[in-house]
Amino acid sequence: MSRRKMKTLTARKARWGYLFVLPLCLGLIFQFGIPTIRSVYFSLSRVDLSPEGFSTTFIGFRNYYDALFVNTVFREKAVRSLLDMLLNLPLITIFSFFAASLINSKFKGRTLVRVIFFLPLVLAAPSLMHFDASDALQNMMGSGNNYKASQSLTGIESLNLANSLINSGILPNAVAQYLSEAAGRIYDIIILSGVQIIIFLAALQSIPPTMYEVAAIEGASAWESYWKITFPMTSPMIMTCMIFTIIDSFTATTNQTLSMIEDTAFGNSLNFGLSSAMSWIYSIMILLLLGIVTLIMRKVVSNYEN
Amino acid sequence: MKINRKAISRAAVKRKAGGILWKIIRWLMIIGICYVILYPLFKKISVAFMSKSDMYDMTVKWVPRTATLANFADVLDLIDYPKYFFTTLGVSVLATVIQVASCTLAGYGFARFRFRGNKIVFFLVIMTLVVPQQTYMVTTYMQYRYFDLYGLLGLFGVGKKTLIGTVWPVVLMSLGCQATKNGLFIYILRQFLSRLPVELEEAAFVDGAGVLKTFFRIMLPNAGPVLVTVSVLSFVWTWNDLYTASTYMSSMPLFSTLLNNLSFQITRSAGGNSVIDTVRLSMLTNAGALLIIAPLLILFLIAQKFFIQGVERTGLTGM
Repeated sequence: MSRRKMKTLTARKARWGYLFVLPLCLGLIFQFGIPTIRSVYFSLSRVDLSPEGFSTTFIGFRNYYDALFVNTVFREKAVRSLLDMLLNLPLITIFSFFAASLINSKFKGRTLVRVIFFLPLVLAAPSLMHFDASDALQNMMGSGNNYKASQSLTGIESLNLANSLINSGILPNAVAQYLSEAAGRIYDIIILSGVQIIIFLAALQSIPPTMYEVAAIEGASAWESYWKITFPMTSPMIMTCMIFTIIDSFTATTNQTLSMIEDTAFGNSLNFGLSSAMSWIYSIMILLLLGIVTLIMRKVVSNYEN
Repeated sequence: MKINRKAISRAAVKRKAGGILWKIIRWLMIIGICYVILYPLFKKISVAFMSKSDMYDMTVKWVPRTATLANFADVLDLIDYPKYFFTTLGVSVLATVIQVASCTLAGYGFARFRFRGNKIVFFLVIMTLVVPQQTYMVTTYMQYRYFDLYGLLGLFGVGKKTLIGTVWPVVLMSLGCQATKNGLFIYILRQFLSRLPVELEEAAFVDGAGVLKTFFRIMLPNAGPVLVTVSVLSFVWTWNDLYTASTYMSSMPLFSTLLNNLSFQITRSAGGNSVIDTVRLSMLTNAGALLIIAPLLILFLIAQKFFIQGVERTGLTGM
């Protein structure tokens, strides 16, 4: 009897849920759903602008054909974004895991170090990154002019590193190339890892300290308890982190493909149909990749657990 | 006995040595990472305080020999800093307050109420994160360019208005949890709120408090840390949001669009390329960039304690 009462209580309460998600639902319908569906229609149409408004003519998959086979720049940029992301993904994941373990351990001056590690959250502004890139260019142009070039971190050093790694012959060429490219990307990697560090730090914090105490009493070294406790307890977060990284790198304002999509729409051509088609091709690419990564990671995690 | 003790002490020495080695490695890595993060910032500070003779002096690397505030004064002459500052601040505060409010409501709705279709709605929230805004950028732009409140204004005989160049698109998107990364905020809030002990609310409910009263009196006061985390992220991301600013508010004086073409703006205000040379432009843009990011840095330094506490207790982890 009491059970039935409880049920009616939750059922009655459940209706209140709609009130709480009402603003969200309105937003999802009017600001996400309708624009998304209309953008599918736009991508299949030619959009003509006039002072009073706009008109659309249905033209089928012409825009998709144009985006993929006529305008080859788009294809190149999309592949470039994909490769960039694949290169960054393991680096960001490993780095942020590592950085989170660093600032999770206790040491003097930890507060200051933590503040510095979280600075990229503030400094990762797209406009600031544009600014840094353009300033580096300026510096390079000015350098012949007896003007101090502020050597960008990605500059000469990494080139030397690549050469010496390849010449040494210890590593296969591809690996050496990857490592040297990675070294050139250090700044990008660090600046893009803000949220991922938060994800891992929160995971590390959620490990009960008693586990470490037990391990220490049983005679485990710090190294052992890291691999036997810390790593298994936080590894489920690796997938969350990777998914976030994929989404973040594909939807960042600094992304070349997205700027091209924006330019197609609001640049000189004002080709809204083509822009929508491009962005749909791009979104489908992201969804496919997310699906693949999720499948692979699920398999890896279940293998690990077995 | 003796051998045992020896072995133990040897192990202790080994462990201690390992500990010291680990400490050294850790500090090397920490210093390395901090260097990479701070390098561009220090470079900007260094250039911004230099005088022209320092810029051409090859012996001056980081610390200017004749430090000067002239660059800052010049930038403030060329750019109406207070106008940009207060507009950006106003837009960011407004958007943050609205976003945090509507996302908290939604997060609580998902955390505590098993209403019908909650899984579908939550799936859509995740989709707003996955699908880039640029996919529905054109149609959203059209919506605000020829705005009729989703067909409602027409019913009252009011014509279509343009909201481009006003703060309204951001306000409306914040209300509907559709501004930048709001899906992530809903996710974080849901994780945190669903972990708060349910007994508190049940007790309040039994004592006769309604759902709304429980939310405001019991839930909100306990959600402090996560609200700080979400507010800081929301504020910083709105402040830095180049995409929204350039799409809907390009005519408004906002820092993100200003920083994006700072050297162009400075050159134009100074009176063209002939007046200003590359070196001087670099000094001015660095000073300007510092002035633009300074408010965020100061805010972050003030809020960092609460922010990091919030991060630790937020349970972003979904476990």
